[in-house]
Amino acid sequence: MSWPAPAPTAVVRISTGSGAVHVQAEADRTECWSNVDALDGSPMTIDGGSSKVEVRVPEGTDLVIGSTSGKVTVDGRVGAISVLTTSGRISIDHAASVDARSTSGRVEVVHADGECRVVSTSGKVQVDRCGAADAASRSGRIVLADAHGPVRANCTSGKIVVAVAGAHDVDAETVSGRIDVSYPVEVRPLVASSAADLAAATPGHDCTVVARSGSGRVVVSTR
Amino acid sequence: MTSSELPPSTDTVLFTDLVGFTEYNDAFGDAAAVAALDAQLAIARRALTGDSRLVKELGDGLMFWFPHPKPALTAATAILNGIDAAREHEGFPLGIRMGMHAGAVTARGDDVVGHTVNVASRIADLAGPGELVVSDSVLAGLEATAAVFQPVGPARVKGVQAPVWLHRFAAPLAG
Repeated sequence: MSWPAPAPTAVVRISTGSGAVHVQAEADRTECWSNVDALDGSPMTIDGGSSKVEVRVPEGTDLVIGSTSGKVTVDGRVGAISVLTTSGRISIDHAASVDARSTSGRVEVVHADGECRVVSTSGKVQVDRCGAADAASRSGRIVLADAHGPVRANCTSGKIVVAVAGAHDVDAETVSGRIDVSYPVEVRPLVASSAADLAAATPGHDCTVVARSGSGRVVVSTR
Repeated sequence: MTSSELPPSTDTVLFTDLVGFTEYNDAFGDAAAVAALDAQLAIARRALTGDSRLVKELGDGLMFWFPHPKPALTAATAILNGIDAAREHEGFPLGIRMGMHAGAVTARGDDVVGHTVNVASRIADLAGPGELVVSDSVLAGLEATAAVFQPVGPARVKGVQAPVWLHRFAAPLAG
């Protein structure tokens, strides 16, 4: 079925159990389409149950998506997107901002223009490019490959790898995992193990790195 | 804000969990772990007002009951702020995550049980460090200007056909 694209302040909501979700954002599209009937009411809501849900939306559409075990794939450029799965893998191509959470599914974000917030229990988190980032995982590895804003990363036992694009602050914390933070060679970060240490530090730095690991190694480098 | 209607009961259940507590205990020993639990408990108790109640401790987590979502949100934000301040100024070692749901509960001695409790616990599992995640039913009990929430997504809960739509607390109370 097809229906008009949502107003700028509205979102398309998609929910499935075991069914996969595939969203395709298209530049020349002016209305939304889905293989599953949308429920009546506002916001526009699609409930796929165990069926696979295919949705096509105009570029820039805001989305809220959830599944239990179904994989969620979003291709093209969308607006603000929130995705929640239990074990389903999450793959997002390009969004204005991202909130993605999975208990055990892997989370992959290719490009988030703004904030990228990711929460995972055991799945690996891979963000290729983002603005500000807030990523947390219990045991899955966190990789923020090109962060263009301040970063907060928390991992209990997995490794945290952050490559920062400019003079942006980083706050990274693990109990036992290793922390690797890298900056462009021209950036001079001030490195500390607590916020209190920063207050006593001398000026002359471009940004701050607060990195705490109980037993893991902390490495801050330039590249 | 959601358009969902507040359920007949406004009972509200809040679960908290210290992120990485088990690994912290393994790495730093029982004395450090107990100190963290004591500090968390003191912060939580200071946040409670009126009829609100700390129901029980669950390992490194806490379970609260509130008569309505409003005092629940007030207490939850006070706990978040208290933990943040303790981390910045007192070296409190761990972040806290929280989940909240509103609906009918059943008293069982000093405990409360039921579907609402189970859902609140499940919601807490989906929050990240320093986050409060709430259900539609909680938002329905709050005024539109009470706080800013961002959508998280729909969670499926065992035994419930319809998904529970979740939201992340993003900004403090207005005014």
